[in-house]
Amino acid sequence: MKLIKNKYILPLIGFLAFLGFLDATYLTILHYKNAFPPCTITKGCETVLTSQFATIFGVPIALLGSLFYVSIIAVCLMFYHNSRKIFSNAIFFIAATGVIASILLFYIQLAILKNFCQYCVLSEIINLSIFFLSYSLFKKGKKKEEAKSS
Amino acid sequence: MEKLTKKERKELKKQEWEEKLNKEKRSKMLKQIAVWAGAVFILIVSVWGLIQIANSPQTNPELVKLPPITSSDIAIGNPKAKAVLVEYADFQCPACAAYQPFVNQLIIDFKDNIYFVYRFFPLIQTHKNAMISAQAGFAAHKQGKFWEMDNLLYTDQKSWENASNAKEIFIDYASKLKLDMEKFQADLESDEGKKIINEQYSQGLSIGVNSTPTFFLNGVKIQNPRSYNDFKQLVQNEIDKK
Repeated sequence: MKLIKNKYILPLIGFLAFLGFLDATYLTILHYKNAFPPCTITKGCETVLTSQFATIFGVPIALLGSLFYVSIIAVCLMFYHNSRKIFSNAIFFIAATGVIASILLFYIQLAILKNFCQYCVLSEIINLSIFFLSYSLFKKGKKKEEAKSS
Repeated sequence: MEKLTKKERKELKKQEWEEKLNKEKRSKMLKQIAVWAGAVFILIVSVWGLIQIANSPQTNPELVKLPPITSSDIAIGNPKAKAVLVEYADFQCPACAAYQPFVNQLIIDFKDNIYFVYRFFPLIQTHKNAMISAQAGFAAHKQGKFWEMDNLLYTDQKSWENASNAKEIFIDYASKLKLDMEKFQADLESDEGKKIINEQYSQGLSIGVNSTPTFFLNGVKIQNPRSYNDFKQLVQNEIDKK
């Protein structure tokens, strides 16, 4: 089953990563300004954003998120210019790392903090979408290789 | 036109073809550079845009309705003063400690022309001793020594911010201030104190307080002044207004 045409997958990943970049960078800026954003949809996002889980070894998770999205965008551009398998694989593996982190962070919000922040949840949804899209790129790369070897 | 030999024609074709290839290669490279430059440009512009958004006031000042000052508020100065300054603060916040001398100086400089109200906004998620320090402030307030406690808490912030025995340190402060120790200890953990602190915190949240310190001058949220002189000027403007 194919929901999205192949040629749209890469731009879609890039677009999602850009959205994620905006989201994460906004939180990073606010973190360094010692403020937290207005939380309109979910309750308790200040709880999440100021919790001990918001930083890891003094580095805000949001900053790691920004870097994560920038790397996705960069590898997407590389793949766009040169559709080598190594790039589609890289997108897939970076996206997989993102999903693992997302699941962990979602779990922390759900089970430990018992509060959600919409900015974080949005980023987690984006990561999951990027992961599924990149999986189809990854699969395509594999198929190509199999066709070549047989 | 002279006729080319077969070999020459072949050569010419090859040359043309190579040129074409080179041209294609170059345009491909240019395209790549353009795409990368475009991407970097977009990212930089969006970071800049986000900084602008983050710096803009989040709520319209006219829409903010500062909870009225009541008798239960901790305040100093002349209640009828032309400049009423309300601060939402956390004793464990370094920026609040940095502003405390400014506020003290304002109270000294403007005397009867200023009324200063302190409201609790403990950031308990990041500051582990935020709540207990607020409670210590409240307990001292119960004995009329809030400002003395405020001074001690802020000036010694570094010594208790990470302490696991903050409560003992505050009890020690209370004894330095010659407070009634039994009453102080009872007030320190009283439900009344917790209730007032939590109430002020959630009221602060509801009017868009999202960082500490947040100052309201005559009901209007102000950007934190960068220097004492800026701060003084802001207050002076309010006094001159009327």
